[in-house]
Amino acid sequence: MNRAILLFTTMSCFLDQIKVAYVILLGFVVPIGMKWVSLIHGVAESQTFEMLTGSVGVAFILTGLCLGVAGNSAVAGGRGGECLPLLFTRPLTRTEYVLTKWCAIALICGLIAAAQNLVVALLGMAFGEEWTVSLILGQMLERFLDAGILSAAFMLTIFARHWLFQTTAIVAFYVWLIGQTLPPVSVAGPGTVGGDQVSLGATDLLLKASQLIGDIILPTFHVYDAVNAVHFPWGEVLSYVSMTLIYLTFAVAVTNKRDFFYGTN
Amino acid sequence: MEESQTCVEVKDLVKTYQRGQVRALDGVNLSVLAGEVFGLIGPNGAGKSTLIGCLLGLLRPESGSIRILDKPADYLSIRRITGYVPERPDFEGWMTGRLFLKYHHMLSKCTATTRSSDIEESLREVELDPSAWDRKLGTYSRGMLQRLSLAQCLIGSPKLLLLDEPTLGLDPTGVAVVRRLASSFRSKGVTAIINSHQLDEVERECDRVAFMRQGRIEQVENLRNSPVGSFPLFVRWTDGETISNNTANLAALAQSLGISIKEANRCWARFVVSSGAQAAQLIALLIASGYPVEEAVSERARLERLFDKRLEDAPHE
Repeated sequence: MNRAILLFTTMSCFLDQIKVAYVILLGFVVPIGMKWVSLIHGVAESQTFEMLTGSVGVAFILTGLCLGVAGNSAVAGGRGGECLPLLFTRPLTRTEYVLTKWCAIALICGLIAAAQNLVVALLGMAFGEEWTVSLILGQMLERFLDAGILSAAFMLTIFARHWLFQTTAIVAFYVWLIGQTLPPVSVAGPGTVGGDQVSLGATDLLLKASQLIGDIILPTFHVYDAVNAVHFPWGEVLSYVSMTLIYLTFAVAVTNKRDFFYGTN
Repeated sequence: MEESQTCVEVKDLVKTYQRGQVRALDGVNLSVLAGEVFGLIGPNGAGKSTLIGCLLGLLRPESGSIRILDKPADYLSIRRITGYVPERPDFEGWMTGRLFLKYHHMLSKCTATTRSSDIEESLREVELDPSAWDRKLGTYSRGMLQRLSLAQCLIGSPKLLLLDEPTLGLDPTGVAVVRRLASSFRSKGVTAIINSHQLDEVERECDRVAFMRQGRIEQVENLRNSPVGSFPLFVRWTDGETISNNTANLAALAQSLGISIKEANRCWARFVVSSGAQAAQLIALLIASGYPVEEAVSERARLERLFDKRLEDAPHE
């Protein structure tokens, strides 16, 4: 773990105006605003709200925090962000850089998402919603875990620039997004026939497929459910840990293998 | 560190891009001595920056070897003693100049007790205005960023410096700073490799220079050796009124050393000398004869001539 990378990554998340504005807007203003409005008007929370306060919300926050990480879209040149060729001339291994960066980003993102969940819970409690300490803590811990696996996947996609991998990663991200956001209620309907039945069947299939793919590529460990379950879900833990390790291992391998210089390609 | 010790040794280095279609380095062999200021010149796309990238361990060559102080280029112990000025100073805009240097000081694993003084010393070395030290880099001009880039390369008292276009974007005072730094590298025994298109600067600052073209080193020129053949020497003196305006007298002085005058004026003359030693003799004679010599400049422009000649010799593609 490199102290300089850890310190300056943290500072960049809190001092870079673009990142701060992005995180405040998507992490707090929009979801908490939605919660506030729904509480005032006594309406049920929307799918969008669920999105912004769950693992998808973590992904949105991460996108903001990762702006400029490793030069982001222009890693080879390091333009518009960290000057990677310059950093890598210092006595710092690329493995050390990737792992420290992952650790810093995951912790900061987890912290922001957990703070968001806490504010939402406190706001709900103020309006009479029932929240328990274990539920709040469980949700907060879940956000840290979401941030852990998502930031590992982000690090890999930032460093592995092969077009085939990039295309696959973008498609996989959208499939995961569909699995997280499609409302399951739309596939109910026992009385439907003909074209409607085919349509509902197709939607059901799409939803199940995307959820399955999502569970494989970005598995979630449900902390509150696990704590209250009769049998601890070791399978969930194993799949979460193994996928995080796979992303990190590949991110390290790709970073160690590739060239980092000024647009010489 | 002894003068004769080899600092950088490159053997048969090959680096390709686009899956082998572009040979950026095509069997480069190079040896740079410790304490030497070494220049890399050549047309665009010659492979100069790629060579620097390989020396820094940022680019992975296909074949060949690089040894820096007898160790592979990407060893952490080598990075600890290496400084680098990148071609493009694109740094994070939210940092201040001082914070940027703190970051590199920490990354260099230098002792924290001297951090503040080391940073200020580097900033002073490059003559960056103190009012800019705590300003965000987003507000810096190109020249200021270049000075900061030079300051970061001095962090950690490096033994080897790789400077990619160090004078790019600098104003004349900034260029003078680079000149002064190059001279201080020599006196401190620091080895420096400078990649630049500014031939006059390279000629002033470097001991030797390599001409690169199409991924190969075509010629290495020793700039400290006396040039072969005659070259013009421009001499200017002050107070032309008090010296007798006698071109014949000047011609006689020159003639006594076997030197011819190309052109002359009341305050200056352009001689044709055959060696550096002869140039020194002439200057000494002029001073002894009452000419208050203010400036004497060799107009050899060896690198410019070398550059032109190499390009003329190149087969037309």
